[in-house]
Amino acid sequence: MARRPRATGRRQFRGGARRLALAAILVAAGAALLLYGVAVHSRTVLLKQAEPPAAEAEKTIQESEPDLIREVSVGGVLRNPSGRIERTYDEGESPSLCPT
Amino acid sequence: MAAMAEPRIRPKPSRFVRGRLLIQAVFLLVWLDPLALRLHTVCGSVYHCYACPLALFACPVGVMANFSALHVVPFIALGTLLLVGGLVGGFVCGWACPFGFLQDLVAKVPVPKVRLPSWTGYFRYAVLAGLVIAVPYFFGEAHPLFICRVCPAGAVEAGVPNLVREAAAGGSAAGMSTLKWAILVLFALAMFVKFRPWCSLFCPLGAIFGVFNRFSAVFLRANPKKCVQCGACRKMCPVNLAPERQLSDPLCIRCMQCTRCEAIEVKTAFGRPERAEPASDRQN
Repeated sequence: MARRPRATGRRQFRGGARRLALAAILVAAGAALLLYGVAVHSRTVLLKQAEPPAAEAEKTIQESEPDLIREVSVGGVLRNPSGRIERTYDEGESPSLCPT
Repeated sequence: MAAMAEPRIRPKPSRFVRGRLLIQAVFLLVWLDPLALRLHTVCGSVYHCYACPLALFACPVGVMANFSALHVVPFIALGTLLLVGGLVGGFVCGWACPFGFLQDLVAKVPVPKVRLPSWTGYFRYAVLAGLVIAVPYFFGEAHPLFICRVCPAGAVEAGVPNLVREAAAGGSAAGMSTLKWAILVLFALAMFVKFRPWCSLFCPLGAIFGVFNRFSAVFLRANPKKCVQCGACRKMCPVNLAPERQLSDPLCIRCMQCTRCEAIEVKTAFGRPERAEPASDRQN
């Protein structure tokens, strides 16, 4: 079986530095996305109402991404046919608890 | 040359590697939320269904799929995966994932195991692109191929426990779909005849962390000065890789069985890089 050529010291050093740089970029990008999701990102959610209301009477809330994560984990929000995010349960009710 | 051909294999894995099941059990305890915190606003980094009655964090795959169905970018899930993947890559699969732990335990049953070629691992990317992103995005979360509807982890960790809970409470025990029951039975059988069938063939989270094996700060490295190409590491690898040249393969779960060979070492990007080598080695 043919042996692979050995990496020289300089090549190993460059490889190590490149790996450190790549890992640092990934971690920094991950932290930035995480921070953005936690602190900035939010979506408008249409609250469920018993009867279809007039457009101006629609009740909406602004939900942060952590709240949206909790909502999807209990089947609490859906995308309605008009493309808006809508709650699946009334205020005072519980969501389905299992999204599947 | 005769000395070169001697495999440098330790008789047993290191104590740390032998303690992997224990470490997985400790992680399982954490994921099972013993303090009942239910931090479902936080996206976890392992495959643990958030519909499980005992789940500390939200499942990142479920979050990505549901956000795809909502047409919303899951910044927190992506950030978590980048952060954890950039640090440890596939170590998450081998050491922290509760679903991997279950499969590792079942794999202890002494039944001859099927070994599939490593290229079958690329099917995981089809699952990721299809069932986690495309199906939810184009057809919504109600589609029967939505990942959570076919996920065996959801069946094991959430479907069955919730059925038992409902039955114990005197409710109707009509929980999981026929498709999910079929997947659960097939998966339960597959665990006996294939090492980590879900992880090596279907897991979309493993597919993501596998990519990070090439870039993560903690990684495995084969020392070419010590490797004698004896092939012993291939026999040790439970996922059928050739560790001396595939240590960054996306299928590697970092179980570290191959580190029994002295040529394979755990490294960190923060460690001091090896600089110069003796002049005799440089000519290669």
